[in-house]
Amino acid sequence: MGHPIRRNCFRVLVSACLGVVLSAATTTTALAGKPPFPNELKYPNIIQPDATFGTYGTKAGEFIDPLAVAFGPDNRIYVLDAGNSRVQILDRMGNALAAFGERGSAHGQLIAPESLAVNARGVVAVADTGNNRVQLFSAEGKFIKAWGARGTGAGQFRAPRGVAITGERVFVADTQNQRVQVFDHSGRLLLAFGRYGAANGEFNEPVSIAVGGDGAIYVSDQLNNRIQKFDARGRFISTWGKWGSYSGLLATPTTIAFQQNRLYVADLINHRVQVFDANGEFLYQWGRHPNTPHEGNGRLHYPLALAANPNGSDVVVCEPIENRCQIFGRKEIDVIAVKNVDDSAWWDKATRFHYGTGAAAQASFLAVAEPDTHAVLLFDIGETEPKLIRRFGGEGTQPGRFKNPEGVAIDIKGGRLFVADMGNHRIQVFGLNKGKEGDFVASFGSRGEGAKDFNKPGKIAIDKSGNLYILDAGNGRVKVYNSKLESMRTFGKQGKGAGEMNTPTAIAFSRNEDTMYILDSYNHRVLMFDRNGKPKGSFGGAGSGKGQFIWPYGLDVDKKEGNVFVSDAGGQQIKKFTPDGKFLAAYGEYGSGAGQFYKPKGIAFSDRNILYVLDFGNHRGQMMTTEGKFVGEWGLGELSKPVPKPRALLDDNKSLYAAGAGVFAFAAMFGVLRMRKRRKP
Amino acid sequence: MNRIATRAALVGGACGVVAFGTLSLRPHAGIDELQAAARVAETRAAAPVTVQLSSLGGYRVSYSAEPAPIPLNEPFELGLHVDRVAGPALRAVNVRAEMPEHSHGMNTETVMHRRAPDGYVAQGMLLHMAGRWSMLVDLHRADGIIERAAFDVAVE
Repeated sequence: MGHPIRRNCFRVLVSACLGVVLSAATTTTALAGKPPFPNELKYPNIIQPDATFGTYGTKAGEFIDPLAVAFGPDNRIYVLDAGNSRVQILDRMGNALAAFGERGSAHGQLIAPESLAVNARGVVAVADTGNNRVQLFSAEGKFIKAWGARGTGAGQFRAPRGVAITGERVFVADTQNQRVQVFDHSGRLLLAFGRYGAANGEFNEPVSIAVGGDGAIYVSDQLNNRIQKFDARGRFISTWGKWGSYSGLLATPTTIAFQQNRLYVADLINHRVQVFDANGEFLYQWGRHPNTPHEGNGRLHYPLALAANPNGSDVVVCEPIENRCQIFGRKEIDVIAVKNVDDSAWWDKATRFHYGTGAAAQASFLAVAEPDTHAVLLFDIGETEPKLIRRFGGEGTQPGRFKNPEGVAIDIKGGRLFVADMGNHRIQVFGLNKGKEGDFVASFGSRGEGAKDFNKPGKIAIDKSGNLYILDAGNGRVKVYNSKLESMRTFGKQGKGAGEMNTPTAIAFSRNEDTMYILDSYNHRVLMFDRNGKPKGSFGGAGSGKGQFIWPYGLDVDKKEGNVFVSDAGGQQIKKFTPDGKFLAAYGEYGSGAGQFYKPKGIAFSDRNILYVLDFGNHRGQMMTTEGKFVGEWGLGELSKPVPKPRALLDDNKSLYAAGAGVFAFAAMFGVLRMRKRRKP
Repeated sequence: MNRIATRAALVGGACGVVAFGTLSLRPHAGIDELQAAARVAETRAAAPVTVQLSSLGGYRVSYSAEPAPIPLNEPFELGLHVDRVAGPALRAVNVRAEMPEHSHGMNTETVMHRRAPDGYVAQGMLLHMAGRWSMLVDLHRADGIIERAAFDVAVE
């Protein structure tokens, strides 16, 4: 066994060389751009993990979306296996030891849980997001206590997505209420602080909490792209981070963990982990986007969950999109993690389609929402294969910019494109006329629960009269606007009863518009309403059986038969139903080949009845017929065609970006020429 | 922004202009690049449009710059006149500028002053690079809807 430093340097060298060989020898698919970028080898901040575990599945040791992870006091690892509605306990090498939890709302059951934490005594706290409650379990998974219900009152929650636990307290990121609530272990509310906004002490999607040894409370304020620090009484101390890719900047921070005077931040869209000291001073970072599909070995693909063990010697990072976790040794991290990686963001280098949640197609247009870059892509599908017309938006709150755009809808008669700007809680309107595609036209709405307000607006459907039906997902309702953007009416409410919804993610009309289909994701079903909002029934159910869903996400209706298609991002399939909800067929399976899927999300039928599927895990779109026959794919190899960059780095990397503009332009040109040369036979 | 950062931005911006110019002169430049260069040339050649109907048709917006023409990398004031056509009363008016071909905005923050019932002045504007800029006037209506008037200007 060699000296650890030399051994690590060797590993880095091997990794770097391997990256070159792989990128030169293979034509990769399912990637964010063609590597290596000029700086790829300059910053080889890739650390070999000590162990890797997990794969897609339902057996012990397999995961469907491991959304949270924590170390127990005995160094056992607790993984929140959200898609399987359970917590798995594993040893340090990833061997499954035990599991607890199942889908449901009774004590000990879970619906769409998103966070867990374990304290020094082994008490496990779970943020049971879909049930709007917190549950405590013993170290072995025995139910102890649950509290909370949906609401805005003291002690109530709306989609709590983060939890931390100490010997005395339980801290909850009450995400949709934009606050932190602190309880004792009996569920008694001790403290609450925060409200919606971007000022100090305000939040836009608090999603994770870490507690320092001195009682300081750190909050991952996701859509403000920052960390905020509070004292033990909830008083604001400091904040750091903003949108960007350079060292210390953040792109959708998710889980945070504090251990041994280090704050670890899962920097989701930058595909890396960043580490700060207790005062927010940037220390170092590691991880880069994979070079080849599903590549691990220190490469990180949407690292969402992380934890450090009590003595700080190990850090475990989980990537739900890969259904795996990687364990890194602190010694290696300290040696190899890189202080500064002043590399521009992948989204400004890789111009290809990367990630989509919402799609709409009409006439010759296909619109795709791309939350990763806070942008919308508009394609010409006049000849079936989409050709990019324009990418517009970019992160921000100003009119024309987005925070997590979710839904898109095309009004071809009105020449308008509607975008549900979920993180800004508004609808934005853009032009579709020739030469003006993507130009800002208008926006409306703000956050709240009132008649004119939105809380995380998601998808949009437009009827033949030009009326808008907007899924106001966080408020569990549908809001109807006329073509003049005047509010008409509201229907639906939060819940799981008939006609009620919990996190609706898609909406579409039947061919004759007498039925409105709403995909009620957390209730694993499709709801049917008439045009006035009167419930007509539902179909679906939770599970992997025919006609059931694991994580239903997208929905559309085919233009000829009126059959209903649903994408199941957890089941890796597209499922087809008759207009009244009888199961007909399921298409696809897990994989990256033709007709295979890797978390399919938004779907949309074109006027020619081609189904466009946003196969987001494979970073591509696929086209298929109504019988499930593969037609083609798009979004790969877009690097050969320069397209306008989204204004993602506009303000935050301004000086660095401007300084690097000349270099980048030549580098990009070099890359383009190289790609063109390589593509020729 | 501190002085060093500003200098870096200006130097980097200049590099960007040079690089863009080089790309636009390449014999086999892509169609997007040629179209972008053509848009800049068109904007430079055309007399600037100083009156626009807003995106939803609610307002007629005109502007004047002081000094005029808008200088390169020097602060200037932008006077705005907003006539109601069919829209409701306005709650606020904001203005900023962006370079569409370069995907960036200004390095300065503007301050808006209301000078008359329908008049506004934006102070602190500075267009730091030569080329086509879009000045974006966002009209915040009392009913919560925001619409926009956009003006293209060429700065040399």
